[in-house]
Amino acid sequence: MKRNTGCQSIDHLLSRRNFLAGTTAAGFGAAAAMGGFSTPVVADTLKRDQKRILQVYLQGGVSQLESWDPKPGTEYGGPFQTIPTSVPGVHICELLPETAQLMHHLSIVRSINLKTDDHHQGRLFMEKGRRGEGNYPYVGSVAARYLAPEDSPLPSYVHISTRGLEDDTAAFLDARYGQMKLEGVASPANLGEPGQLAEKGFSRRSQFRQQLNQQFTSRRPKALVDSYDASFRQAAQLMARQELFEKQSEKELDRYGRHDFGRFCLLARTMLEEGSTCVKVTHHGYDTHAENFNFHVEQLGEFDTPFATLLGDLQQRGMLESTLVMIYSEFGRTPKINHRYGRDHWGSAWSIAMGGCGIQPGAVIGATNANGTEVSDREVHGGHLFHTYLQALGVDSTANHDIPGREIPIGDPAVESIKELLA
Amino acid sequence: MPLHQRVDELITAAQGDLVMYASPRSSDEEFLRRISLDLVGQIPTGLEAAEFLADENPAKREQLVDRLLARPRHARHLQHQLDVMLMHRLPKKHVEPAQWQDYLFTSMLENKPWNQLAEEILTADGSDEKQRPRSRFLLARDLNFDDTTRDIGRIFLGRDMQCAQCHDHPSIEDYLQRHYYGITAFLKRSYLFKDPKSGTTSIGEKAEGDVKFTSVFTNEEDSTSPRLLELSVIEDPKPAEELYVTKPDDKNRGVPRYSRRLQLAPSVISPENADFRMNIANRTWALVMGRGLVQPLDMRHATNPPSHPELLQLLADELLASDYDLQALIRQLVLSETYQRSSHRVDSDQDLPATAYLSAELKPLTPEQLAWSTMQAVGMIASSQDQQRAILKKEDPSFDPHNREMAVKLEKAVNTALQPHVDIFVDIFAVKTDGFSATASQALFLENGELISNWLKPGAGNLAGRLGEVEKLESVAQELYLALLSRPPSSGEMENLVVFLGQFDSERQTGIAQATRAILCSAEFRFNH
Repeated sequence: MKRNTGCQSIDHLLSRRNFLAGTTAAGFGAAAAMGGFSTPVVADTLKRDQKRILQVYLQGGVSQLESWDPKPGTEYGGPFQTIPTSVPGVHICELLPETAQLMHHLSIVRSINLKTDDHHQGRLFMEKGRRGEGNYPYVGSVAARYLAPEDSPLPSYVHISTRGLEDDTAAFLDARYGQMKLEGVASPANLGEPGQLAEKGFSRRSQFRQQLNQQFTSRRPKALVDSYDASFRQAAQLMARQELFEKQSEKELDRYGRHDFGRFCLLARTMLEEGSTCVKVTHHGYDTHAENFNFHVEQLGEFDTPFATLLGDLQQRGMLESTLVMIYSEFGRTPKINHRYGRDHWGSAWSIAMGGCGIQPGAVIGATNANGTEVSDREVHGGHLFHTYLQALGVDSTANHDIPGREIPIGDPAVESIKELLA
Repeated sequence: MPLHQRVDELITAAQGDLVMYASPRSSDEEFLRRISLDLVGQIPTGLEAAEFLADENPAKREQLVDRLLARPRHARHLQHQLDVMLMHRLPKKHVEPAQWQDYLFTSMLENKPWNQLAEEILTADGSDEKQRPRSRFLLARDLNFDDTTRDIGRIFLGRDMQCAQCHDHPSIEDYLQRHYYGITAFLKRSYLFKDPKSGTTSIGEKAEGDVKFTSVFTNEEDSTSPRLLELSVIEDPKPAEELYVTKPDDKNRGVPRYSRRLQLAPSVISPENADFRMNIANRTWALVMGRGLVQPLDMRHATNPPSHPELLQLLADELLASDYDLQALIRQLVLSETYQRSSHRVDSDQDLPATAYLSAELKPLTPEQLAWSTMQAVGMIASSQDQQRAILKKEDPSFDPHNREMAVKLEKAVNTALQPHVDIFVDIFAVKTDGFSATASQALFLENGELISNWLKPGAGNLAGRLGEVEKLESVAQELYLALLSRPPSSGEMENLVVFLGQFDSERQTGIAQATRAILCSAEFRFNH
């Protein structure tokens, strides 16, 4: 079976021409040219407005039929009804009442076909915009790399989750753009003792260390040491902001909810406000091979209020226009209901929702057929979505990464962004 | 003329006018620390530093090089470097990594020629219990044809041909699709076989199967027999009556009479295959110099040629002539003036190309170097050596660490004892990027982590314990610098440190711990310079 790498399309051939036109003698000297891309990756104007991403990952595969693309009264529709949303003509599943009232901030893509039903493959495709195990950075790391300011007050890419493995998200980008995994709302490891005494000690040590470093770089090139210093500044910031990880406000917890996901969403808002560029929150438990309907009541019941609160807060604080918001999974769920009242993995016709920075709100892109068994219009996959996220943020996903000696396109050159989604 | 002088000639010739910016020779202090890190993977003890610096013998540098090369620790350091080069820190799969690492260590103790090591790794099938460790290279990759083809290209030939899988490489003319599949063709008939009785996985092979490929650019279909790059095609011999030694079935891994896979190693290491020796010459250079003559190390092609083609050719030829004696090459390289240049710039405002080798490059310590150097600095290695020596002496009263075999035994014992600490450093500091990256998590570990905090508590003969007994602050400062940075402090540095320590008054131990920590977190410690 021929391996589908997206190489077949005209887009890739056009990009090949770019490659050939732009080839440089890479690897010569410290001032090696940045490879042959023709447009700068990040416009200077971007630096003025700090952009961010909020990723809400519904791990396991939320059912599109119980969320963004319900088909009540059809063969596979299941027991739930739809409810109208704040966007006239757009209905979503009744399990998301509070989110429905904020749909005018979001858009839905209903026509995703990843051509894989595998958790791992689906997840990688949705994060990297590339199919398979290839070495590419996650969208969060790409955002951190090209959007985070040099003096970012907090780690630029944070993942709030109590489960899951450590993903290597930065690929060939600097490790400081890799995700920093926070164990839920617990503080990061090794923050040290809180309190005045410890702070004084740290600051004295820090001064001495910087004195040493200044000496060291007095006649040596500074780049590597600057990078090293930056990591200590970041560490100091986290140490100084230990309270971010301490008790959350009771008033806020009343609004967000006291279960894990509620707390995570509140912490996510805090991290975004305080300067992280990409914050990812994972809500586990959507892989409903059995008791799909009961579990979705539970899961989406847990999801709806905190998410809606978070989205509402971002909007009220004026952050929504500079924050891309995405709610996604690694795939959807089968229309066919199995004998355990479950739905199984379904990568061929499912949905995600997104909104905020650069995204046309209130839109529905693509469609599935009457009973949801296939995409009927505007089929897209992880590659299209990846381009869309980055273009919405003002990052030219058709350009090459900023890596001396290598020419690696940011987004898959075989596909483009979903232009109708971009504001 | 010895090789190291020829190296210097070629480097200087290429510098042209830039030679006026060439840094002077490194000081003894710079050299001592650098050569220790590059040959044995750790800094010297404070005592070793003081002794070397006080030594007035003009031949002391060369003698130090030979002393370090002779230590079992040198083999251990090469094991670390080769392991990362060959395995990219892939997790455990089918073969226990510790056994593989032991195989590399033993190979380096014997100074096994690189072509022999390559051959063993590429022919291993995991069926022989005794030789199973060497099969980690293929088995940990699950013999995935794409991963294995790509890694053979990168690691043994200095070519990353990933983009040539679906078509001729779009921008690198030398990397063709048929090169990619020429390598896959050696592997394609092989498969993973899980023995139903033992549950062990090894490599079996069928007697038939061909490789076809289509370019997604031209839509042309092509096929290839095993063929290494531009060398001759290796056709199958006329098939015998009986195709198999062992027919493949549920219970047995297939062993064909003629194995395509077993043709791979001889092709790769053949003197006809210049890429093999160019690659290892380049990688060995990069090991000690901090960058390759071809950079990136796996991207040699017509539009990314070596910065010094004649030099690379010279090194490659030397390796061929010396039967791929890596340690002999390393020795020559570190004796060169090019290697021994200071990392201090003559004019730090000038933006000078790294390819001119006018100054030594900063090289971040590998996670292993950082772990072992930290443990050395605080006295963990010395106390472990004392412990293990006592144990070995008890087992055998004739134990003499000057005897090579016993020195190896002692090194192994200390290595095993301290490995868990090293694993923690590897977890935190190992990154998949080329080059240096520093994260907040790493900084937090160094600043506040409990592992290091425990090492800074005064204990039997460790640094903190020893320094706690010292009266004068100036002497404390002196010893701290020697133990941590392998040099005495300048008068200005002495003053600064004394002022710092003075802030703690009677809480001397706290002051020492804080100063030690700050120095461990400093750039001078973090980098090889």
